Amino acid sequence: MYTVLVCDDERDIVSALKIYLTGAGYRVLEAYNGEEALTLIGSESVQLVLLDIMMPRMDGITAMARIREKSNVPVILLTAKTEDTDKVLGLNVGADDYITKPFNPAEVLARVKSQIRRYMQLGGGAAEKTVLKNGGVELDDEAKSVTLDGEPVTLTPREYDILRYLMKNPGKVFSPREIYRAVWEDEPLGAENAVAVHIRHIREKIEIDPANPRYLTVVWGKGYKMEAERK
Amino acid sequence: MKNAARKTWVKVLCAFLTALFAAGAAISLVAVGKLADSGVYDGTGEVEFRNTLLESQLQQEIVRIQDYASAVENGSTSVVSHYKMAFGSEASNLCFTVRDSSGAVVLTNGSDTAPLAGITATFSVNNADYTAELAVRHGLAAADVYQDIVENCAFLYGARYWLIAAACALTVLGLALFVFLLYGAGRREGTDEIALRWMDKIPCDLYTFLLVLAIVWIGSVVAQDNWNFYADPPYLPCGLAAAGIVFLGTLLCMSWAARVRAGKWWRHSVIFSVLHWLKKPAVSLVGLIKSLPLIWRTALIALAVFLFQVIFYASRASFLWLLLNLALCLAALYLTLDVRRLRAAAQALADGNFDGRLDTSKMHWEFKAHGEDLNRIGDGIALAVEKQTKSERMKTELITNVSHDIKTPLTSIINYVDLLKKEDVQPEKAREYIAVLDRQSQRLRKLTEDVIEASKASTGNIPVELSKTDMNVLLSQAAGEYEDKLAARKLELVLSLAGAPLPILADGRLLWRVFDNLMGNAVKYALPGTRVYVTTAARDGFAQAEFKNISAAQLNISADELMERFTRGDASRNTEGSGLGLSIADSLTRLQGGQFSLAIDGDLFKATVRFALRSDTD
Repeated sequence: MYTVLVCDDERDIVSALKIYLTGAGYRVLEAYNGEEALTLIGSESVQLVLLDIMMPRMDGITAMARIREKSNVPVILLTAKTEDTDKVLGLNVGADDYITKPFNPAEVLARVKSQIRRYMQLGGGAAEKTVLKNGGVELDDEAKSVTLDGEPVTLTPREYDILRYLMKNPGKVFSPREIYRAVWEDEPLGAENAVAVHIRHIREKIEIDPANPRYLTVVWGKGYKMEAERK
Repeated sequence: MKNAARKTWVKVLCAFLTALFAAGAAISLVAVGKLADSGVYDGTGEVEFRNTLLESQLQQEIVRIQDYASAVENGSTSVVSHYKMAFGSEASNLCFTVRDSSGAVVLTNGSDTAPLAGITATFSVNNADYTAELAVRHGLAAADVYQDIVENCAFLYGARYWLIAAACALTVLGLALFVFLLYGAGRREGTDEIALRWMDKIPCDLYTFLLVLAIVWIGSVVAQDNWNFYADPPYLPCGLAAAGIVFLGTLLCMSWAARVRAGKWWRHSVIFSVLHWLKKPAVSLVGLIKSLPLIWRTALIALAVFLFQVIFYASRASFLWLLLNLALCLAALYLTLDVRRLRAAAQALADGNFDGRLDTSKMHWEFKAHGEDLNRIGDGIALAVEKQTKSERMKTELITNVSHDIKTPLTSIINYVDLLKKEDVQPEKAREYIAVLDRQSQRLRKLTEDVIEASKASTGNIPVELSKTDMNVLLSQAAGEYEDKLAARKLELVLSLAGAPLPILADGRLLWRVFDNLMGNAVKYALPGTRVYVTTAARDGFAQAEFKNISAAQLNISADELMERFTRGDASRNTEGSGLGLSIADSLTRLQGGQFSLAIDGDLFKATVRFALRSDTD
């Protein structure tokens, strides 16, 4: 049984998260400010931390930095701010993911699950050559299968081809036209939005929040890319 | 009638007839005038009328009689024989008797027992006084001026009323023809257009000048002659002159009528041509002077004024006067420096630069006061702008902070509502209530996000990273994102993208938010079962994206109102939108330097986003 530390100054939110996480089979530790969270991490074995940013006594960013001084436990930030700068700041100080308030319980559970899986599988078997790997997404070209955090994902052949094409060149932006030419092996002739539709379907399958993708991102007005893995 | 007025030969005929009538009318009028002078219409009888005329003619003979008498006195035989012939009873109807002061007859050519008219006059020859009795013989045997006068008098007196009638009738006829000709001027057979003849193409001022000159000349020639009307009525010269004047006048009026009818008659004139020809150099001269810097312009004008004075008044001016003028010119030039400073300061204010201050220490009098006022205005505006900006920023911050604060309790609400949904809540109604709570809390969540975005977008509080973006690609991506959602609402997407790429400079993420809002609007508000048109095109150097759909609800508000915050096409607020979508789209588009416009035509809703096209290479 994995232990999740939930830290938020709002007791109601902590209670709600506890109910969901307990229901999903996790042990839940509660903290109401950064100091309490640090104390608990020091005394207990924790596999994941859900950390609110705006808290009294010690805020989430400070606590985050302090956690990273002694542990590489996955941390998901809870933030009321949607600004990109806050997200970047959070990720820069070492957070693994972020969830913006107000969040849906399902999304929290999915992200918690994803992070714990990756954390526990860390240092697992080295990927074979035919396996393309990016974060939690693994594409086995031999078996023509795709897994997300170890769980199989069902893709149509077209979707599979597009994903493979993008995963081969992580970080590179491909225009819809290029993707169409490479995957359909034909001229698009006004069918570019077919690519967009397929990409959206892929995102719905491999992303927790398809509107805010982590892996397959949209570069608006230019094309699509597979995000390069953060080190 | 109408067609007749278009025929050339009719017009020529009419013109000649008019001249003819004018001639007749003129002759009649002159005769009537002369008769009226003689009092014929005031009750003077024919005999009295005739005798008055004969007497005035006799008055003119006295000089000759005197000459005759003096010739006799001086014994100048050749003159005497000439007069003897001239006053013979076969040659003249005049009979006269000259007596000296004693009453003895000195000279006579006979006498008449019942003369038609007679006068008595006195004159002196060689200091001797004589009395002459002149009379017209009643028989009028000789064909001389008296016979003519008597005959003409009889004719004119007899026709005195006829003459008035003729003058009136001919004038009316002439005027009628004149009006008819004016109506016909410029009109031609077989066309409704105004046709100009060769004479209408002569510059109008030249044409008028020449014709008026001719008319005045004719008039002066006729007026110069001193006619003895009753002795030799000038029917022919009067008639000819009147005909000529009226003919030329008619030509002039017709030509003007045609020109005015054709429009822009002034273009066809010497004056206009000269002005037109002068326009270009004049405009360029004014432009040249205007383009000069203020100081140089003032110097040039001051110099011109000074030179003008030197040239035209120098003869009357003293040296001191010229010196004063020179000083005035220099003073004007010096003050121009102040004006230039004021101008620069005002321009800076107009351009929105409120920080710069005008240095008034070197300025003078009213200019200095004006400069200080400008400074105060600048300070005032700068203060107001600062206040405004500060309050805008505070408002944005307040909205953002409040919205963020709302998010935390909202998170609890959403989570606990979700937990409630999972509980087996017994009364069926309670579950319906929970569904309402769920729906409304989700709406509140969307609303808080939109409020933050709208407040930031409208105040420009969003980082904008402009980069080369292809509107076609972005639209195809947006279409792909929305295809499923549109299909779920039974909306068919008709996407027609421009053939060539549409490179623009925009922030793809923000532009996607614009298209996201517009497509989201279509999903929310379009009538299910209709088509949604998304079109891109290059137009007038702009990349243009158009979104068109049929609104499900009646759009009974204007496009402007629709763009205002919190306004929606449907008056009810039961649907999921926040009413901020279009406002956000508008703000975000303008933040990126694009243009956003809405149009409503019945139930057709149309949004247009325009960005300046960039070349493919930059």
